[in-house]
Amino acid sequence: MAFTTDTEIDLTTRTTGNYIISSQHRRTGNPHKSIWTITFDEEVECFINAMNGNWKTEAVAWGIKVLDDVLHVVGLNTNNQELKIAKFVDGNKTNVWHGYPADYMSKSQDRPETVILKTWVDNGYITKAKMSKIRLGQSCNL
Amino acid sequence: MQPVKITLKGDYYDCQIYRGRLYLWTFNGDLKVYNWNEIVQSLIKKDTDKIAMTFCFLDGNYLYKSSLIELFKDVDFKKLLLNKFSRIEKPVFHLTEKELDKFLFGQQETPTGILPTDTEIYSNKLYFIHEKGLFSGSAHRNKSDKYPVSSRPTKLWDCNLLSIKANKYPQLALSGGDEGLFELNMATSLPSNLERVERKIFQISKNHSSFSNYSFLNIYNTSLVENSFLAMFKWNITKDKNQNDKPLRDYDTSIADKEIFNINSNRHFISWGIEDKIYKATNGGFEIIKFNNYANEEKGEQKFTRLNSVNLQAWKGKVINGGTAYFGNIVECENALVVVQSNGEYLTIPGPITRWRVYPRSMNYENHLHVILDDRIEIYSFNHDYFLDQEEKNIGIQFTSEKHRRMRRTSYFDDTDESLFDNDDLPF
Repeated sequence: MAFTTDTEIDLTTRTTGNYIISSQHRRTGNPHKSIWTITFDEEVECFINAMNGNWKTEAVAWGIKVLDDVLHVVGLNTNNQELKIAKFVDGNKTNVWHGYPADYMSKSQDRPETVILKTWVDNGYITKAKMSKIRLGQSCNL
Repeated sequence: MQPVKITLKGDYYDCQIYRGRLYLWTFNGDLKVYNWNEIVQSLIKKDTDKIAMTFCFLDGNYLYKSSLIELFKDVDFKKLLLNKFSRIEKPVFHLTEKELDKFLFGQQETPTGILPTDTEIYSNKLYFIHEKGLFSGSAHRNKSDKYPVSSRPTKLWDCNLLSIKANKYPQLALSGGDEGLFELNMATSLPSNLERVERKIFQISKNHSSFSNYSFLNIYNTSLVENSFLAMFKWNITKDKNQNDKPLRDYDTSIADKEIFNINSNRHFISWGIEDKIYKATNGGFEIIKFNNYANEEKGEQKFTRLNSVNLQAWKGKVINGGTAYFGNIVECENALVVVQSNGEYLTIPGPITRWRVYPRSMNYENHLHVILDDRIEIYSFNHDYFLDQEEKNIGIQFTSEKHRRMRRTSYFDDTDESLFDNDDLPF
């Protein structure tokens, strides 16, 4: 499906919220924000997985791209460092979400909540050691 | 000289040791508190091992006594004690979860129900952080209490902090990532020149803070993404309403990591510091700076003096975190935890490491290193540092008798003086 940035995508048949691909977090967007390196389709799929996995608390959801039990890069921070966690927010509480690659070492609010990380550990996506490092804002080979 | 190790099986996430009790947070969200003294006593199989096991695991401070240092200058005494330590290096001290059960002091759901991001126990209080903020509640409670720590802790602040670190005064350094560096100050007199952000919480810097540690009066702030710095404090003597001297620990200035390590490039590097040493991670290890907080620069004394560099084997990976105790430096690399001992020997613990802790500001556990792995916690005791010249050693914190002057001793060999912990405030 061909998606357009900054336009609400109706995902009623696939999950519980709609989604907007923000042009701010694409290469031609805001240089002060992290950017996605995955395709539009992959970004939307990452959001759907986050919602369907119930990896969310109130108005924030968290996503990862897992292929063959390995976490893949979803974007880059402003220093061109690879990021593997996605953050989705329902900013206006209208159930219309947008997202961006989370820079958990730089931004304290970009660290997923403990309960989300524990679910990922229980599902085998990350180790307990990596969960601890993420919460502490420390480097780990995700 | 090898460390002595006790292994406790189980799926743990965090740990603390405080006044004879071992606090273990299980990954499924329980807090289990064990009677540590009884655990250690159960592992003593021979009377002739009792002294060494006690120094190893229950009273790590005792052998730093100045009177004993004189004794250790006698080769025969030193040899006798070293022999006692070497006898317990080899045996495997290992307890299963079931075996641990008989030493359980109490168990409860972790307070607030969320696994803590970081913890400290200080002055009979447990401090902890997670995404909902900074909390504190009573710890080291009586056996008659329902829970070993308060199940209804007080929320002190709602900031989503990364790490906390207590010093020996009633202060806690709070690292808030991009929110900056803060301090929870529970002293009677509070700083006069820092912005107050909460009742007893002050902002020290708006610069990024991943973790921090105390260096004398000061705080070394480590950022894993931006520049690190040493936040300097000084005593500011003012007068109270009765015209008595009232010293305030006021913020003075910050010294950038590049200035401390004399570096011109803008490239980011990891550094950390505690007490008299500051460390910088390099490609193949780390380098060490001696920090003289009392340097008289007018007399030509240097605040920062480069000591030496230490190399680590490449397979261990990049340095990602570091800490320091009296017995040596603890360097966390991507694939292993490396202890560079103050006697120059190395100990490597292969990862993945969930958490490690040292307790240099404790009164009996300064020689401990606790390492949480996937299915166990390993409790190491290092006992080489008592026999070293503290002024000459380059690795690890220099032990000074100042620690004895500031605190009344509560040796395992003495009766514990409960009143020591009742008063939160020191007289400043």
